[in-house]
Amino acid sequence: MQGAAMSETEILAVVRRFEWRRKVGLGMSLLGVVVAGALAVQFVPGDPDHFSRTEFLALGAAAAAFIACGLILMRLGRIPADARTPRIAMLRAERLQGRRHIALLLMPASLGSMLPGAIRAAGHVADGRLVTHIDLFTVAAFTAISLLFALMIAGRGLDSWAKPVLDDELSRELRGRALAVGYAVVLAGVAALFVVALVSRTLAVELIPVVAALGVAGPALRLFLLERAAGGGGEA
Amino acid sequence: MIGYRLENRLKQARAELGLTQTELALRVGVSRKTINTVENGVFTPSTTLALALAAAFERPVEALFYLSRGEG
Repeated sequence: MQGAAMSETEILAVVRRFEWRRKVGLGMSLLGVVVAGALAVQFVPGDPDHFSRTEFLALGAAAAAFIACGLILMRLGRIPADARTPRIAMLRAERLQGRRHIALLLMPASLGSMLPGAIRAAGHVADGRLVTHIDLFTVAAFTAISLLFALMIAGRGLDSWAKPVLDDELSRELRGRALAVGYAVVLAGVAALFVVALVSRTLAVELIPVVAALGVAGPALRLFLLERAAGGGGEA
Repeated sequence: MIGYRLENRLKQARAELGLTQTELALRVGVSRKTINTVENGVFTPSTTLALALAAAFERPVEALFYLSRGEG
């Protein structure tokens, strides 16, 4: 039922509640995917240690419940029609941009926290040791998150309403400059790995996740700095 | 181009029409930040954006943008 026309503040409050619900839903779904991923690596042969049948069923049920609840939460509610005006879309997108800046800052920290596990798993592979399920999960998670961050930096997957702000000419220019940093870092890193491999193949394999992490963290920080420099001053 | 710098009269034109950066951004379909950086000379707009801005003000593009001798 559509009542009287809402004020801009009321519309933004409704939108905020909707976005919060979507965020919680997305978080729950991702948690479910992580649990499902932990179960999926159990099927990869090699490591003799497996979850027990009870653990497997319990975690499977938890993963399904998290994903289902998350998806339902994300589907609940609709953005009011009044919120689809260009002005509200711009206000929403500018707020989203603020949150993306925080995300850009958190990316290097997040990858850094996963790096020891990824290096350890790479070391196991390089030494020809048994690759455990934990190694597989760590590598899969590190790779998926690195790719997800790279796609976020590249501006993929933006909602159409956010594109005029987050995918306009300036944003594309800044992203291009930031991604050029990533390209240079990865290129230099791969060249360095090649040289290191001549001395120690194990060390070269262990350093692969470091190069990948730097290739994502570098552009994230560069984009944050460029966006911050471009955002200074101005008037609403 | 070496020796030239792109200047603009965007802020004056906007003030004449009483438009805020957000209102101009909405007219052109870019972010407020883009308008701000173009006005401040931090960002050089593409031909498309320069023409879109000129169309928004109903002026020729040369009335908004001009070249000056500088570090360009």
